[in-house]
Amino acid sequence: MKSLEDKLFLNRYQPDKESHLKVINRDKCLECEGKPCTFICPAKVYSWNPKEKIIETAYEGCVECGTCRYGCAHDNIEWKNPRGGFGIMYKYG
Amino acid sequence: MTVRVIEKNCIACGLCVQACPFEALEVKGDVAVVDPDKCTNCGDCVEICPADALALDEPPKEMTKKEIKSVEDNEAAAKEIKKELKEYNGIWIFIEQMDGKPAPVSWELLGEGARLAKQIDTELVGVLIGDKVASLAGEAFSYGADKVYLVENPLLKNYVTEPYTKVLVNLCKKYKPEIFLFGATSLGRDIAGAVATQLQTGLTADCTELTVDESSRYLMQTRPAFGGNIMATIVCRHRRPQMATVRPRVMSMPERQDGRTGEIIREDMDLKQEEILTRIIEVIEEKGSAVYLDKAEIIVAAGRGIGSKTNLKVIEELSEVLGGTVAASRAAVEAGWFEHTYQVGQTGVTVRPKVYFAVGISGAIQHLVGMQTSDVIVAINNDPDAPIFKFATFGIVGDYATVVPALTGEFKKRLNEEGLR
Repeated sequence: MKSLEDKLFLNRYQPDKESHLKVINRDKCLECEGKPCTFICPAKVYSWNPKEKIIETAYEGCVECGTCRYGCAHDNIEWKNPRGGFGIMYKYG
Repeated sequence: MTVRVIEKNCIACGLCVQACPFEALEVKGDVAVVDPDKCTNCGDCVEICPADALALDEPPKEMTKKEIKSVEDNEAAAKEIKKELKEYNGIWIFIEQMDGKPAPVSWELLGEGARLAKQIDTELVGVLIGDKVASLAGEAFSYGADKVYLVENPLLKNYVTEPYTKVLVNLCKKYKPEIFLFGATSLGRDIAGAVATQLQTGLTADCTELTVDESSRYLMQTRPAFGGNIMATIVCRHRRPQMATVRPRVMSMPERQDGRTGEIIREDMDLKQEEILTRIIEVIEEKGSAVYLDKAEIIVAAGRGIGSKTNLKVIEELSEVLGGTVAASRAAVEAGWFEHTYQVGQTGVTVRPKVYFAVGISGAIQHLVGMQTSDVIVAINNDPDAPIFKFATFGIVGDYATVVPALTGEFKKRLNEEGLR
């Protein structure tokens, strides 16, 4: 079966060097129950790293849908579009 | 002129109707029919027809006198070219040196050149230019050269495109080599382009495979294009020399035959400082901790499976013992263990080392595209189903924390033994 990463590879990206997605307050993630960002994101950008106890953001694969901004129960994600010319480039979108 | 339908072959499949850009075809009953007013004889339908039921209607040709003459002229010119091409002989290898130190790719090319020269029965020539480099000629002989053209001049001490180009172009015009090979180093890539344009001949950059067609004496130059996704074989038919730059470390190093000698031909070149626009002020050697992943020969890469930054020590130790460079997957960079410059993959650097150790890297396609052309891939991962094992030359299923130190220890031991011998 194709993994999500295999499918994301079909997209075209021009990744910026810095993330356009920021977790505002990492302490809030520690208390957050369920951590919705880790499963509502269609590109699996967010994942919980149990060892470092942080949310990792693989912003390179972001499809810029904006779901995480609304999905975060604590309004803890600073969501911006990537700079002009960067991010996902839909071909025949 | 319209397309002709060969009715007995037609199966009325309708493919030609779809293929026609001018809507000139139609299936009537069980046969295709052409509308002569719309058909432009473009031939699209002929190509698509699965039953060979369509043919271009070619009228009998009546050439004008002018056309006949042009055909005759072309044929005569082709003959002339062929005759001219026969004058070119010998396989030349550019022997790259810096401060009298040869680039190993030159010897690799001599090995490859010897193989080609044997096939088309010609001589193998080394071209050596620089200042006080005559001693390298002897080495060229021991690696297989039959002859060495040597040009020495104080102005050729350091590499500058203009005088080097002038020397090589003059040599080529005088001695007419059939094939001229360069190493695809930064120097070789620079000069080969300059020489090829001045000689108005063909050049294939960055070849990974060379063969020669014995009857036509064409050099088949194969090189990866589109980031290694396509292998293109390129031939230069009407111009000589056939030039190519060849990737270092692709061809195997020939065995050294001590005591082998050959003919050294010295050439004097008239070079003037005033004619050279570029002047070298200072040569700065690159040193320090800057990362040159794309040039590294051995890379030890760490991924998320390492667990934490404190565990990186075992990776660094392995890399140190082997004289390699450390690198990282996206996940490891994301976790803050490495700078972005260490990242290998689609959004990082593409590397092609001799050996690539993937430690705790699952092998997502985004990582694989950055390293799958490595000569040898060693995967160390505790998950036997990790995709990296599909691409690995050698795979070890196990915990890196026990496997990697064991490898490091063994390498250390073996390397020390070698050192003592």
